[in-house]
Amino acid sequence: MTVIFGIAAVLAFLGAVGVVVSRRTIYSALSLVANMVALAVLFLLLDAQFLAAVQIIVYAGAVMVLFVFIIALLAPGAEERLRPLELRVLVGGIAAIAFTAVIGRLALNGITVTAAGAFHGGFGPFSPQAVDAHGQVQTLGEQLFTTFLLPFEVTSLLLLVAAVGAVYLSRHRRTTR
Amino acid sequence: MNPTFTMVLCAVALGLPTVGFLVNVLTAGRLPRRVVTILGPGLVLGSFVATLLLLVELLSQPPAHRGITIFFWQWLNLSVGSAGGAVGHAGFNANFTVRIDPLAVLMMLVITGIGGLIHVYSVGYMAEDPGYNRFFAYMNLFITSMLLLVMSENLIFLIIGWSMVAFASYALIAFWYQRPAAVTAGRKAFITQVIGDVGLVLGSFLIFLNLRGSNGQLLHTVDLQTIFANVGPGPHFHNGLGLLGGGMVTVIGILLFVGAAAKSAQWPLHTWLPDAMEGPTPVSALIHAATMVTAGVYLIARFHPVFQQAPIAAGIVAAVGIGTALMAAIIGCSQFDIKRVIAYSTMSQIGLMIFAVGVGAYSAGMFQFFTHACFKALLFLAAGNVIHALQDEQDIRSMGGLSTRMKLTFAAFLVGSLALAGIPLFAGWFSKEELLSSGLALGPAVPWLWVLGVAVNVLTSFYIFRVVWLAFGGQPVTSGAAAAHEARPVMLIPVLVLAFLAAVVGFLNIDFFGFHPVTVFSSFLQPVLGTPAAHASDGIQALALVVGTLLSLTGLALAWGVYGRKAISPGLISQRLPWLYQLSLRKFYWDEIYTATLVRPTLACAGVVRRAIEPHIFDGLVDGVQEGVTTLAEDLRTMQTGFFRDYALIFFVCAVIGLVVLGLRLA
Amino acid sequence: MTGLFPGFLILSAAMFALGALGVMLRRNPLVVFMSIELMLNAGNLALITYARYTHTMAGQVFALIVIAVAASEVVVGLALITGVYRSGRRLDIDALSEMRE
Repeated sequence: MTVIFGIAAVLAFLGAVGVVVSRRTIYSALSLVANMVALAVLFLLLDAQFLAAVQIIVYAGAVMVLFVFIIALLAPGAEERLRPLELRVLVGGIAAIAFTAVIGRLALNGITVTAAGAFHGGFGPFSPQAVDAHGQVQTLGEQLFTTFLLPFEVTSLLLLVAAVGAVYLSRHRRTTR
Repeated sequence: MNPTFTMVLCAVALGLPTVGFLVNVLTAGRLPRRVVTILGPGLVLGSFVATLLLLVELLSQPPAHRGITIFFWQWLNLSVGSAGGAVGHAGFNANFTVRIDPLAVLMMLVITGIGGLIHVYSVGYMAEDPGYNRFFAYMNLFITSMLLLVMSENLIFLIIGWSMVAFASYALIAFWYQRPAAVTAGRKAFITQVIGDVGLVLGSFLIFLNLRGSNGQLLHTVDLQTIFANVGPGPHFHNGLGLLGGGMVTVIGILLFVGAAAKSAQWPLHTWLPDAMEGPTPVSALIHAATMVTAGVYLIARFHPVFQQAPIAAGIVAAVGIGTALMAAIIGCSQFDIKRVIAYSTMSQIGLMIFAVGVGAYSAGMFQFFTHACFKALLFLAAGNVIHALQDEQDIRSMGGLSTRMKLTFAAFLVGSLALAGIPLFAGWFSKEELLSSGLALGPAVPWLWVLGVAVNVLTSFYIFRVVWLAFGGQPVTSGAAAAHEARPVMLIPVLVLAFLAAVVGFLNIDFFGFHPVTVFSSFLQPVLGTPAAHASDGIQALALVVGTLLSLTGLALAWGVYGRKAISPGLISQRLPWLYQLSLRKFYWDEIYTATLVRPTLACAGVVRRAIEPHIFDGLVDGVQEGVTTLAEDLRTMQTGFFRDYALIFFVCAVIGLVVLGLRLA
Repeated sequence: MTGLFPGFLILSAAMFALGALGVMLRRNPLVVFMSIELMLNAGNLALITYARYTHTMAGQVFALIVIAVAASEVVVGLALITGVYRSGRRLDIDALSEMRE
């Protein structure tokens, strides 16, 4: 387990670095894909099987494909000149490191890890059924259609809006040219 | 006395000129001239009528009961822990309370009566002046202030009236404000008055803080009657200072005298009076003859219980008075401006009055005030006629021959001069000789003050008859003088009324040695001022009377000799005793002394502040703040780059900072 | 797996920080977008970690919805970027800034 975690974590981290650092846009996109796949592995480690699948199918499979298409359409070989020694790099870097450090310290001190589930939607602690059922499709679906019905419906509305918006925004405007 | 009726009369007397001032001011001086002509003098004369009624009221009482305190309205009552906080008595109460007693009524009669006559005169004198309305507004204000000063029972309102008088005098002296000389003179008068105000106010503070009642507890009162009732012999003033032998009382007396000296133009605060002649002549008559300069005499007379407890202060008062009288008389002998001669004469006569109240002859001093108001106002107004007739010529060397061209004015001026010089049977003789003999009787054992006083007699006669001969006698020196003609009725009648008074009022009090058949005046004032303590023997008094009268006549003869018959050369003194002549001509150099010691250093300091301190420190501070803010704003402005990435950076950094702080607190 | 809990969180934090850096430091809007996606993913990881360790489903439901939202956001955002490209402007965040005063 720990080994798998280690490999996946390193891969995710490298992917993330790659997104930020790559000169070419397409390399950034591919790094992000790698990151997402590693993340899916981590989700599996965390008993979120359904979500791991969704991550691969939707995020890596649809969203990133869209990204790659757009990159290919707009700026296939786009290179950006990076200026590594700006003030903002220094400040941003320090802030990023500080952020990570703080979270790490808090995590290592074991904040707010309560065994008892405080939220509704939990099965109760540590029963074998609970442990087994955690992350299964049935479990998720049950929650989605009962306790979290409203967010679910609103999200579907959001997707509709996004689709309509995308169609509208990308139509050819011959008149304004 | 019927309190309600008296209250109404007081309200009318004080209120009419106030209304005049307010109406004039609130209509922004746009009233038609005819209205102002009727309103200005009319209101003051109405006030005079009310005052006469008050006099009748007062006289209807037996002498012991001639005095009433009327409470009008409570303005400010801060009595803390005093005897029940009774209104008008203990504690710091600035209540508008009026005291009507013989002294107050006397002052009011002079202020409104002679003031009214002068208002009528001004209708003629100021007829062509564009500031006609403004003039009457200020004159009404002056009458109001002066009335407030003398009617007030409460020390606070007395001080208020005192200061308002100073302001009104400034406004009137600097009336022709386009003239720089007038503005300077007004400023000088006002600044000197303020110095006096400091003395008065400090004296009042000391009285308030230190007066104790009969059982020894601190009274903390500003009510005059209460103060005077408790200033008796005995340790009633907390003897805190121990200086000057008399302690606190002496200090208070000296401070009060500082105030009186400023108002009455006594040394060393005398320099403003001659310069004040820059104002119109009616102003000189009103302010510098009849009323304002006598406020100092009034103050000392009113506060005589205090001065009776402070013989050293009283002695200083008397000495300064006589000294100023002599100095002013010497200066008056060499001046060429007719108004200046009369001004120095005022300074001199006031000096005699101050001397009288200094030695304790209060009633005599007030009698001299009364007669002096009549004949000095007369002299000023008659001089005004002359000036007006000669197209504003004031130098007596350019006059001459007016006795035939302005007969009535000449007659009036002559009557006034005879009164001033103390020639027998005219008003001044009675008052001045009574004053001097009281001075002899009540003054120090070695009568050197009296000697100086009678020396003043000679000079007084001399300088005024010098003017008479030079201005009215002989032949006209200039064509302007030749063309002069008599004044208009509106300017002539007040003059004649005053001449009549100057001739007649002396007979109100005939009080020499054992022979005092008529004591109307002094007995009128007796309830307030008491009777003088000592009297010399009748023989000494008779001698003093004769000596004084002879010296006055000597002065007259000298003037006749030099200027009438031209038997003695006018340049005699200037050649034989040039230093004396220079001292006289240059006003004893006091203006120069003050300029060198007070004015120049102050201006130098002001210059330093203006050149060095103000631009660098104050402007620097203010400009520095402005520049700092501007710089800061400009620097902060660069944060608004418009770049999305910069904003994102700032968001993230601030979020991280917040998180770090939170994390450190949780961990 | 209690021992790995901090590791997940640290990784999530590091990914988030890197995503933020990408937003702040890169000028190509597409890269900026991808950095935003990275940050969303980091958030998802944290959510699912907590869901696991508190034995509740809310975290996973929330993560699912985040994915849906991210997808819609990407769609609209890319449409916008396409529009920008088509109108002839340079694909440079600094050049596209009209917020300068």
